[in-house]
Amino acid sequence: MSVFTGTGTLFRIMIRKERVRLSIWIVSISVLFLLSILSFPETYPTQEDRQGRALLLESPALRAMAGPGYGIENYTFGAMITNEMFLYVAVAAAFMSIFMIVRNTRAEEESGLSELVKAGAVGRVSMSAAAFLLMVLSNLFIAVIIIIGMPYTIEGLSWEGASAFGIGVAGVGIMFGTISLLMAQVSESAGAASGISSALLGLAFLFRAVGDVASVDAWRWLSPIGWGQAMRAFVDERWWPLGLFGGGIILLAVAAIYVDYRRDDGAGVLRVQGGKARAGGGLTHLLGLQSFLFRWVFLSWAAGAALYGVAMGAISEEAADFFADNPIGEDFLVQAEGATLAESLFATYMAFLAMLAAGYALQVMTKMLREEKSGRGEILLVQSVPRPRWMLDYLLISCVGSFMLLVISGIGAGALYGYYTDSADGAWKVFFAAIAQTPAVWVFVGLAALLMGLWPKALSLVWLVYTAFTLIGLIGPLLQLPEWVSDISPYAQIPGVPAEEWTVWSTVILLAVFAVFTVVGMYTIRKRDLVI
Amino acid sequence: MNELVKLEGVSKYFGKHAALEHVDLTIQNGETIGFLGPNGSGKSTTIRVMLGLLKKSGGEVKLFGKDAWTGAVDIHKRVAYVPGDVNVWPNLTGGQVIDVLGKLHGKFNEEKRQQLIERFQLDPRKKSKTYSKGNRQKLALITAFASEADLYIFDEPTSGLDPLMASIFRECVRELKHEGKAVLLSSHILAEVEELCDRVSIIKEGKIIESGTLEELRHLTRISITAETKETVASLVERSDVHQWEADGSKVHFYVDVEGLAPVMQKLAAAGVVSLESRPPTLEEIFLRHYESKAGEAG
Repeated sequence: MSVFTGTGTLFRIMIRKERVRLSIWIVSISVLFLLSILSFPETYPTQEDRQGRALLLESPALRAMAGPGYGIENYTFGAMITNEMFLYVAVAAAFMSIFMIVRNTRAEEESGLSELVKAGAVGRVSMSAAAFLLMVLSNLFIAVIIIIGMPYTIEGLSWEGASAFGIGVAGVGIMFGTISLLMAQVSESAGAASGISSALLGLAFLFRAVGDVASVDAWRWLSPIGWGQAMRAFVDERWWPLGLFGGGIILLAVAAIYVDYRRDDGAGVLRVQGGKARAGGGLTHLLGLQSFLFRWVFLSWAAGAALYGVAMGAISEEAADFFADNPIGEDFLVQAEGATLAESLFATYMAFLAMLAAGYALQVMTKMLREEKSGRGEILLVQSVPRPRWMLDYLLISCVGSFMLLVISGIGAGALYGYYTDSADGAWKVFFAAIAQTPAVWVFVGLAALLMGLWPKALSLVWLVYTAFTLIGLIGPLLQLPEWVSDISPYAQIPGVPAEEWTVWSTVILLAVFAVFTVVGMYTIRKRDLVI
Repeated sequence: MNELVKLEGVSKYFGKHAALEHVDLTIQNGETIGFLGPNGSGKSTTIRVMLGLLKKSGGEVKLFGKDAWTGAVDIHKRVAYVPGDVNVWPNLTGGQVIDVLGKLHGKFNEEKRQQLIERFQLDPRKKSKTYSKGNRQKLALITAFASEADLYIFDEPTSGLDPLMASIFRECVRELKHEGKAVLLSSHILAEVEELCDRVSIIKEGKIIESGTLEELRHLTRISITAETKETVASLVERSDVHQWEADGSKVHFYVDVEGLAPVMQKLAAAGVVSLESRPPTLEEIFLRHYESKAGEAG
């Protein structure tokens, strides 16, 4: 029996297990990308329009968040797509690969499933090998859809350019999938494996951003994303960066397989250190415990909110200029008489920020049901914790946390905007617009509390409602939905500050809805069976 | 005597499915009750109704004189509970979990905590996610035994423990009995129940089918007889109170209902008994008889 025995069987089982989830990833990445470029020829009919768009890349902030700027002199659709979108498609493929690998290797070990599998006629490294194969295959799938799709989507896009684009995306995806395969061997927990891999992906993003802004090649070469961009799709395609991908992937894959071969099942190379034998004072009251359990969830959302705020503040002026001569984009923006374009832009950005904060808030609230189902809720409640008290902590962490996300993002955006425009008033307006979103976010929290009390089995409905309203907020204006549809969304109840005037009554109404939902939820949770 | 727990005609429906039907159960002060039944028979549901985690559909549930549903929080202060499936927060260490649960419960004995961690040989510095099922059970057991309570409820507490740890568990329960605490031990490890419990209730498909002291249960049931006789006693097999007849030459083994013992003994004596061994049924035999019984043989 070789160390690879059973790889084929495991591979087939993995395909079966992953078919829905992976298909969604693959289709989302490739098809959404193709759909999003569909409107380009209509938006930029002339070379002049395109050159105008190319000017955006002169701004360091936009250059950091878009491509390196190859082909800027003659900005074809291909060059535009590569500069502005390659980065994001590649990052999406990388995330898909990281999560898929960790899900099928270290996570299986953590749950004990791999023990069962490896006890069968299965080689030591077969699970890793099968996961690797599936990951490579998924990325190649994405590449193929992109390569076939691009020339059909926009007339005049070359096969050669599409190939460089698609293969570049797959290269980045496979590279990070392989990195996470190694991390899954080295670290002892699934969380750590995907965390370290994602951090490395973030670093790769940062390195190429530095390289692109400062036009320093050395930084670009440190980043696999930079390798993909160096293939210069649709400008003057170069194929030798494929050697970098090939070499890197083979090296990392061999290292991962070697570590997997040498180590014990369930063990890692990075030892988990002994923890504390006693719980400190902060942990032993209920709110302290729950806050401790949610600290990483909050911190990662906070990092995202801060980044979003800073980015929006940084590009606000330039983006406003851009929207000034882009009629389609304006449909996205909150329209109000007498508002500057920057203010309209911020009003729109705040609506997105509210969605982000609501995402965090709902993650906290829905965790409550998972705690209840897993029995961890039961073991807390029997320690003479009243049920409304138990719910109160989730409400606090969810409401205070989402408010803090808005504050953090508002500070970032306001401070930078104030700095650029040299206006303290402008800074305050932007900050206020951020925290004005609080009641809309809290209505989602209230809805979750209500369902938790009345109908816990339907709690996941809050995600459906959230997604529906988020989608309406995102693309509603483009779809030209009837007004009442977009008007029932809590987001829509908040006036589009700073473009529009803030009103007290809308805030009061939303807070009242939140309060009623919450009180009913806390009252009814005492009246029902525990979900076990 | 002081009645701590009183369940009277308790039923629980999940939709149309009856999980419990007319369950009666009492626990007196200082008593250890064994609660027997296979998986899915309603043991955990009964306990959860007692703890006010599930709402009864009918009947009356009182603990310490309070209604289990409306008085749940007060009741919990006087109860220590170990669930059958212990799930804790994967990122906390074992020691942290014990402290969190103990402090939330209120009356928590620090000294006992240390002793119990040593007795159960738990490494409190490890993250909970690295613990096996048995080790997670130890966390809940240590928390329960270190908590001051009047009633201790264990739901299949030893299903993940090794024999050594299971014996330490039994030791701890004996200490509780010695202190005069009441214990409800739900289990399907029959030897454990036989050793520890004053009274036993057997539950089957949501109904209590047998309840009483071990002596009472034995009395109600059959006695195991192994005998060797000079003459054949094969005619015994025709008696309606003789069961599970096995014959091997001159040696026979069978069970006889208590009422039929006297006539069967006379018959054996008349046949010239050479050796005779009789013993009351083990709890396992009582239990299996209730569960394996086909129609007609049901007790």
